[in-house]
Amino acid sequence: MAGMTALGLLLALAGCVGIYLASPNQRWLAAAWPATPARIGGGLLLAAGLAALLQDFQAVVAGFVLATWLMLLFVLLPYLGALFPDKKGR
Amino acid sequence: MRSDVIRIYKSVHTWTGIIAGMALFIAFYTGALTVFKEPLARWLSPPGAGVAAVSLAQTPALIVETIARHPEAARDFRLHLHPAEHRPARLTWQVRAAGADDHDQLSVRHYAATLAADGAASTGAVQASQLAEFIDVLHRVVGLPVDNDPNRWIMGAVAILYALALISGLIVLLPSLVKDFFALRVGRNPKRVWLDAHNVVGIVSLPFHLVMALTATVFAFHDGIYDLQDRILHGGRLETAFQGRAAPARQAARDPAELLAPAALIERVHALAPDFSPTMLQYLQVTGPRPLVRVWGHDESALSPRALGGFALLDPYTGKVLSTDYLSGRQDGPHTTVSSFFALHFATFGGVPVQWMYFLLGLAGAWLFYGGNLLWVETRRRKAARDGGAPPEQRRDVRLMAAATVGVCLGCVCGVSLTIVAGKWLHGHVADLTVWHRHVYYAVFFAAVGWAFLRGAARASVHLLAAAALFTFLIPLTTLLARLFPGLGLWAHGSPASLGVDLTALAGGLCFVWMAWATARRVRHGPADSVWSARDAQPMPLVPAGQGESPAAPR
Repeated sequence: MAGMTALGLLLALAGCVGIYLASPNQRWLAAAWPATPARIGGGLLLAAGLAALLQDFQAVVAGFVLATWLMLLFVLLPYLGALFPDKKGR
Repeated sequence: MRSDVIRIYKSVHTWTGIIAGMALFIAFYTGALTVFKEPLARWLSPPGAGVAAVSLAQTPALIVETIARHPEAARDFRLHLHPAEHRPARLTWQVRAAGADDHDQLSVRHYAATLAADGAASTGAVQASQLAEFIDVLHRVVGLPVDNDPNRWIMGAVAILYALALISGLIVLLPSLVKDFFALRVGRNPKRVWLDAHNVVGIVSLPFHLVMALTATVFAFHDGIYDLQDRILHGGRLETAFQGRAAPARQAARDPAELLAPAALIERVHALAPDFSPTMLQYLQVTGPRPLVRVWGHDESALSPRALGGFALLDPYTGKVLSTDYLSGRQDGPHTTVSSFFALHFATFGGVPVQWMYFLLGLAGAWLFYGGNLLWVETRRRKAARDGGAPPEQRRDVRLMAAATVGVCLGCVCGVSLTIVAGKWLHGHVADLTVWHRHVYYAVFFAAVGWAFLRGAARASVHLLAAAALFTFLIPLTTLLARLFPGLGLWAHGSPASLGVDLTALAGGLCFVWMAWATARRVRHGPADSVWSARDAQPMPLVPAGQGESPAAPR
């Protein structure tokens, strides 16, 4: 995997975690992160991830890669929360 | 939105999902594996002469001699540029059985040509397993054995039901979409758990599923669509429209000795697209009046328009570039748009990371349909009275649906794992390995279905998950045995692709062990008023409808 692709996917992962933890339905933490800053931060990380992917891929491919990655992460994050809930067992 | 409208869409979603769910499970489970079709083929291919036995400089002589001995090879033969376990030789070609469907790859005979030590060409049939193709067929025609027109139409009907289920499911969820986004509430209400587990996958990966539903429908009916297009738009001349930019028809047959050297063809394509890495040259009709060569390959930065990659079309005698419509990274807007649908279905963009993403999304899709059926079962559960008493007998249709879901879905998983293993153990012991892949898969599949109905969903789910774990563990175990005991006649490749199959199977086996353990716990200790409890479960009694059901129980 090319370096910028790895960086782009990592940035997007961080962005998705931020967006997930801002949700009232998140199950990783006892309390959700403040919605607006977490969502804005997550969005910026996603934009940075896309910018990194654009270094390795044509625009259409970078968009497809990011969309596919987001779908997978947003499926996995709630399942991880259900499998390993926070200490309060939420 | 009005509640009666929601109710209608809920009915549509339930019934389309129930009708198509098990077929879609098979399509998605095998589809996830098909993403790694090449590693699977590499894992299973026995050691052979391989591509490296003939240098690229020697290939012109090999081509001439092969065509002289096997004129039928001139119609379509392939020159492989990079060695891999599943490439038996530098030059290969295929012969389709008379009367076989155009899409029926399993009826194709494979041949290979290489150079012996004395420089003479050595040609012959390849006895390699068609396992990866067989799994792909299961994927393409939702578990049916042959990829032909009727089976594709069945798949198309399933894909249409799938699309309906997606759209109706989205409409049902709209009122609570924002509020319940990311919600996966694990608690004491199993129906809520299954509903959330189903909705999370369905909603978040909806674009992926919409693309799959759309492309699968088009793939199913594309022959008919092309025929209609030909009559309405092209006046019956569609084929000539495709040939419009190809080489002009020549009158005289060509001599393969005059073919441009492969290295020169590769050089032409490299000059045209420096980022494009050729993997294979596919020669078409080289002795005929319209000879062509497709230089297949990949551009890591671009999407590939086909599962094999992209290609430039050249005249193999002059090296003149005839078309770049399908050349990765050099396509125009309209071709990129159409190719995007292929790429989004086949995961031919973004390289290995995206293949893993598709693998996991494919498995998540299989889980979506399995979970959908379990949700249907859970919704129709008869609960025990709050003040205790004997648990009510569950409805017969619910027990049958639970057994069918467990049998079909886990039967597919077990069958696929065991037929992968059988590919190595049966090699050299049976005449036609491809036929045996079918025998093994369907024997296991139908045995699993029968077992689920015989023993009931609860007990059978534990047994079949344990069987799935065992059969999946046999994949890396076979590799280990091949390493430890070479006398067994097995083989083990050390390429990352081949080892990746073993490691993935090991991880899959561990997942099945965990699922079997969790299911066994539920079956033994979970609430008795459920089809998933063995405390109350009886062997599936196939009594006439109505008998054995509590008349007092709600329907």
